[in-house]
Amino acid sequence: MQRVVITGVGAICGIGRNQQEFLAALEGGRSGISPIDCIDPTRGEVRFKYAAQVRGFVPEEKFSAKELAFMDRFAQFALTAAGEAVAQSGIEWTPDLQERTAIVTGSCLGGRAAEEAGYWELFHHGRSRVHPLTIPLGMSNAGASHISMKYGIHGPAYTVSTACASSAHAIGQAFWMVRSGMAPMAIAGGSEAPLFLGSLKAWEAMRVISKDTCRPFSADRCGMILGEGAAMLVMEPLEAALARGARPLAEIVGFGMSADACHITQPSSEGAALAIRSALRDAGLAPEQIGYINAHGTGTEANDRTETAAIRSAFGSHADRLAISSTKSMHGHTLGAAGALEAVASVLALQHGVLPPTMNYTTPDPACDLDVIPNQARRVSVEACLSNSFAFGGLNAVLAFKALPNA
Amino acid sequence: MRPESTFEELGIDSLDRLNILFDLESEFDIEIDDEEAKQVTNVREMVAGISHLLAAKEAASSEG
Repeated sequence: MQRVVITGVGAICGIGRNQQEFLAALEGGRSGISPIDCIDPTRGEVRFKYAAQVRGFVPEEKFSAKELAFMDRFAQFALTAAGEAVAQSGIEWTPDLQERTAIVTGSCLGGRAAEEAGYWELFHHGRSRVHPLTIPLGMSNAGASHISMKYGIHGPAYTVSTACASSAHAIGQAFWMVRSGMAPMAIAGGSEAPLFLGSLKAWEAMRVISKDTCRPFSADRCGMILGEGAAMLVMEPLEAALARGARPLAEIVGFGMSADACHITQPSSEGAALAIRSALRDAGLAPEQIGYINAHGTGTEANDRTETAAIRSAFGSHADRLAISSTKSMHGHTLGAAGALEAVASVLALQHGVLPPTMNYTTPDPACDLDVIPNQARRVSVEACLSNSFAFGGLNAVLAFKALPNA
Repeated sequence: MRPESTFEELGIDSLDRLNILFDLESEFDIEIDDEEAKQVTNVREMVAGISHLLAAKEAASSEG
């Protein structure tokens, strides 16, 4: 078993197009939630009006016309984040690394927007054909495939789809591959582009989207806010990273997962607590070593109450001595990218010694009575942290990270 | 099932609620607000809420 470190991260979402912008927004408590303007209103009205859209991203500046023809928005995000993470890691590809590096991505919807475009033509315009690239654009593994082609990587590459926990499962599996020695390096994370009409309509029907903003753990919370984006991490053994002169940002130390086996949409606190305990055990960490949890914190009635109960169950009295926050209050819920984006937020928090806040917090809720770092980032260095991801379908994934001295 | 039966007593969970709201909106061609729907806990309140929305719809169409 090898110690595994993160040597590069990349992020693109509603609060930043790279890790510098992302970090500045997290530390400044700047929300990316704003009126949705990427839907053609003549095609249909959506009852909720806000999301965390990626703004100022010009695909033509990043990719050639030929490349873009083969990539839906979610794949463009995946490659953008992977490019940033790989560049930061400073890796020089050798034939051995290219042969064995792993790529694991998470996505909930994949490129389903491309399918919608075709279906619109079929059902509304009486066309009899859809675009010939509908399948390669729409497949959920497109992100992993494009990353492999970009860097000539031939190792294990696949995509995990576990709804809102997809990319946490992806990172966890990639971490285990590196830790066991199966892969000398891994690129893992997730990406999602869910802001298209059919997807928004489906979320509207679930009645869990807030009419204005996302207020996790606040008594007046009224649902989640959707976001889009991607995040990727480069992982490698500590010794290999140091040997090649790379600068590790933080250590990834544990991964736990569980299934609620209870209800298709209602979360269970015991299922979530099981994943938290399992991540701590995998990491060899005592509960008292955890100083911060990047919460799943969707801002729904059910999640926030259940997650608080899960943390209390797993941590006992230490729950009152640790801090948690939901960065979804700023970048929204990016579904299959959420676990990765929040893993990057966790790594940055350890590296920079600043815990990101839960924004839009107004009123304490007795059912969510933990220290949620309300409205203002906190400069404090913690030894270790967790990132929680709990999916519809009751599938839970929790990642554990540890700060590195001099990172 | 009686008018006073609560959804909880009837074993109606959050997902059943969504299905009922979907059917009511489709059947009566109305839009039921999420927050208002959350306040409704029994059959009588549901019927009253739908009647209210239908009356509002009627009034709107006779004006138009």
